[in-house]
Amino acid sequence: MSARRKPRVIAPPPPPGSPPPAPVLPLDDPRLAFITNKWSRTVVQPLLVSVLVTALLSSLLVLTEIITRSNVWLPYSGFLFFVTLESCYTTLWLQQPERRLLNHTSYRAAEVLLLALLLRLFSWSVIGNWPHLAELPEILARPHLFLLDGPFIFSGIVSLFAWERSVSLARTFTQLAIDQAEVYYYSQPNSLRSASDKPVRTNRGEIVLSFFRQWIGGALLLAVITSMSNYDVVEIYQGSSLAGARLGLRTELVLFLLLYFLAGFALLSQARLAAMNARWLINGVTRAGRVEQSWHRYTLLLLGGIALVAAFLPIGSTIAIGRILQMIVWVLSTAASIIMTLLSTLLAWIISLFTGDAPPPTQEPLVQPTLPPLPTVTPTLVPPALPPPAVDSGLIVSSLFWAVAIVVSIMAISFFLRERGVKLNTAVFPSIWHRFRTWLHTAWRGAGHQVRDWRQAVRARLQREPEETSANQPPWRFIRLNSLSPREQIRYFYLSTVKRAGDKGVPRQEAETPLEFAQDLKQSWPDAEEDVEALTEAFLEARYGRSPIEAEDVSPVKKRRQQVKSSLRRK
Amino acid sequence: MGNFSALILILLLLAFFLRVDFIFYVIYVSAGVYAWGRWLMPRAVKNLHSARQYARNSFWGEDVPVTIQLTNQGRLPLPWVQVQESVAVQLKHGEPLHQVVSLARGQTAEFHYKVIARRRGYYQLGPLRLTTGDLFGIHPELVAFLPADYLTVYPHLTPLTQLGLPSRLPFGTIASHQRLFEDPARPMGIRDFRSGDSMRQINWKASAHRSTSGHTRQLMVKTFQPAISLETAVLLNLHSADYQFGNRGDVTEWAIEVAASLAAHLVNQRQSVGLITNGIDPLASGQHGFDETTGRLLRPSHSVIQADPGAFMPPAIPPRNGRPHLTKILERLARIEAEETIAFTGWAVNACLHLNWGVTILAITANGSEAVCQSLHRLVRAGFNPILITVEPDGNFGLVRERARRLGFAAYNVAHTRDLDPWRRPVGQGVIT
Repeated sequence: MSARRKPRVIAPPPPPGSPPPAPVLPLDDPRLAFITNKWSRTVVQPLLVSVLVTALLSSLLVLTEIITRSNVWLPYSGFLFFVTLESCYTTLWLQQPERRLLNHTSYRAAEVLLLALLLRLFSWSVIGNWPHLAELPEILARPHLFLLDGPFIFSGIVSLFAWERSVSLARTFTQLAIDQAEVYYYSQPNSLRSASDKPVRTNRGEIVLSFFRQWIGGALLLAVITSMSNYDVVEIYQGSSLAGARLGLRTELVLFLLLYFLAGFALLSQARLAAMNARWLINGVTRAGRVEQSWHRYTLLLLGGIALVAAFLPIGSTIAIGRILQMIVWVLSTAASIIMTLLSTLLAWIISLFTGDAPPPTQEPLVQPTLPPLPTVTPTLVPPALPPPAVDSGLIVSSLFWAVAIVVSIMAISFFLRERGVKLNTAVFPSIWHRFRTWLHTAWRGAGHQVRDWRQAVRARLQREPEETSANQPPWRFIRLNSLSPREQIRYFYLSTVKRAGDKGVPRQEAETPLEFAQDLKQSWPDAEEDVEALTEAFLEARYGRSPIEAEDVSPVKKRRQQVKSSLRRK
Repeated sequence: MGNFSALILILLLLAFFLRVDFIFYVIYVSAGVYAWGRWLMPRAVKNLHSARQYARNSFWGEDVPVTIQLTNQGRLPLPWVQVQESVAVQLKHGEPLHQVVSLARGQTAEFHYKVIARRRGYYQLGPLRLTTGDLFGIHPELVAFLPADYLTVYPHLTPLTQLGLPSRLPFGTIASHQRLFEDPARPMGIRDFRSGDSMRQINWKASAHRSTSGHTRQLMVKTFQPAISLETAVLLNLHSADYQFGNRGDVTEWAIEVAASLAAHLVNQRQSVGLITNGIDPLASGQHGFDETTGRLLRPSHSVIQADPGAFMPPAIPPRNGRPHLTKILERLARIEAEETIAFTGWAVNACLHLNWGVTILAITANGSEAVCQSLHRLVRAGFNPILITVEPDGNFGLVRERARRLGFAAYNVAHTRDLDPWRRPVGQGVIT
């Protein structure tokens, strides 16, 4: 039978020497409902923050694409989303009471370093300029050329900004959420509350206002970016008119704009709910029914409904007031430019009164074109041979850089992962070592067989050479097959077959390969076609293959040779 | 958050100036959210109807359950409504009503809480403060109120069983030992005829039956239960200067409790009771306020009362019988306060001029001084039946009683609850004399 779980209670640990604690709240206490529910806190809010920040900065990437006229920037929005999501969750993780003793600055530094490394890899994969092995000396000598390039630096800056924004917003929502100490304190009767337990009051209204201002600022930035991206900025810079440089709004920007505003509204609603929850808790308000669920539901319905209605409303220039306002803007800007022109003219005239008439413009004298001087051939001086530098200081610096970078990266990654509970399973190492040893042993044995074959071959060659040089070639029948290695036996079978075929009128030409000669054999002895192929294949394996040949591999080849031999004999 | 309107304006300018049509969509969404909070939320609040249901009057020590109904009669939902009811400290009982609720269209929410009647008085319940707002905090919160209602807590009533007070009015419903007041409507039995008996009292049927049965030719007459009618006026002296300074508050409260207990007992005995008092009723002036802390009805300042004491003195309640009349008397006694108005000796005789002849006047005052007794003697001479009830402790009350006896009225000293014990005994066990 499984033991029944005791209900968990929420209370800060009592300080030493304090009186016995008052009864604490069980988890089903209605006052705990004021804590923002876990689903909102851990899923909805981080997602909304990530969408908000990613939408804002991705619009910047789109603008960059328009300016640079390349399409490599938008994929970085995926990485931005990852960065924002990761930083949100890391912030939430660091805010947990268990992480009080963790050095947050170091951990954040390790996180940034890890993200930088990931961005470097992501940038290579997006741009497609992975470093090649041939560039290794250059990479080692000049790491900055290898690590730092334009896309990486720009995306790094944008990612850093995204990281900072998402960390800030995640902290904002953490501050807005009610913590357990507040619940513990404010849920007790006034007579039982201890002044020492009183939590620090957080001005949540000011925090919501601050978030609202940040969101408005981002919205204005986004609107400006959207407006700029509607035109070819480069052409405008080069002097084209606005009408001529109009590009039209890109679909991605429409999506980012929509996401930014909807996510912003949703986050604003969440922030407001958190602030209201805190207020209700502190004022001792009881929540009746499902206020929080209704709050989320009405937010979704309201935003969805307004967005739907807005989709059917006339857009911009199609409505008359748009033209009227545009005309008013044009009139105002024209009037302003006329006034500025008049003022500048007046100013110039007043200045001319004090400085006298301006001198007439001097005409520049015409310069006659002259021929460039002919190059004269001068003997190039051969520089004296310099002694090779004793120590390359650049190499030392780059080596030091790589060493430090690698060590720091490994430390940062291990620190980041270790604190998050990712630990290396050391039990895997013996298993890997055992496999490695087995592989090594097998390879060593294979190499031993190979060496032995080579040794036997060399020895046979050495034994044969003096005989060839000193006397005629001995007959084949005098070779002791059992003294040969399996490989040599197979070669013998093939070569004896070749010799016998030559005797029968089908000699092997010097330039013929075994496979070409096999064709000749098959044409002459069609009934032995299969055996010839098998014999030739076995020979090629024995002659050129590196895999070891065992004694039992010989007998099938021997049978094939007998078959071929009998066929040759029949002709 | 005025930044929001600025955002919409800037977006509008950007959209028009740079002719980015999609920004209009964003403007519509933003303006929609803004308009919802700016114009539609106040309308939704206007369609919020609330009502408070409770018993308007309460006896001392009772729990009074209060129900508040909050209905959203509009077509728009209200994501959150914070409901806060103001309850006087002296009425608080349990958790105060301070809740937040979400109301869909047409939905009704009910809130329940209790108050306890700890002290007599006229209290304010509420007002109910309703706070709501938009979902984004773009606009200030909206506040609405359900006006306050009032609760009357009657004085503490001590149940009495028999008073044994003398009366000069015959044909009542209270049994009496004085044969003078035999009530022909209350036949009690028959007896033999005696000389001097009225012929109208002969029970002819009983006499005939007795003669036919051969017993005797003696006539039988009907006997009647003597009864009195105790039409009473409670003359409550709340002129504060007539009471000793030290415990004036407690004694005047006790005097009010005694008056209420006597009135309740007499009404239960189906007697007519009236109330005449020289205290002040803060509601009588038409301008009144409530103490924010206690929630009790505030009395006007001393100087205001002294300027025209008569304006604050409530009119006399003439003797009537029945429960509604008792309620009227108790409501008056719930609100009445002691104040320096008119001294008893100068007020009592004039206050009783409108009463019928023979009415019993229960004069409840601080003590039985010579002047007080002389005032009551004048009432005796005017044909009334005054009874002096003093509420301050008096060690020499025997002298007062003797003085009263000589002047023709009865006197009682009821300074403590135990002094009411003789009037609380079961019927038939005797009363105080």
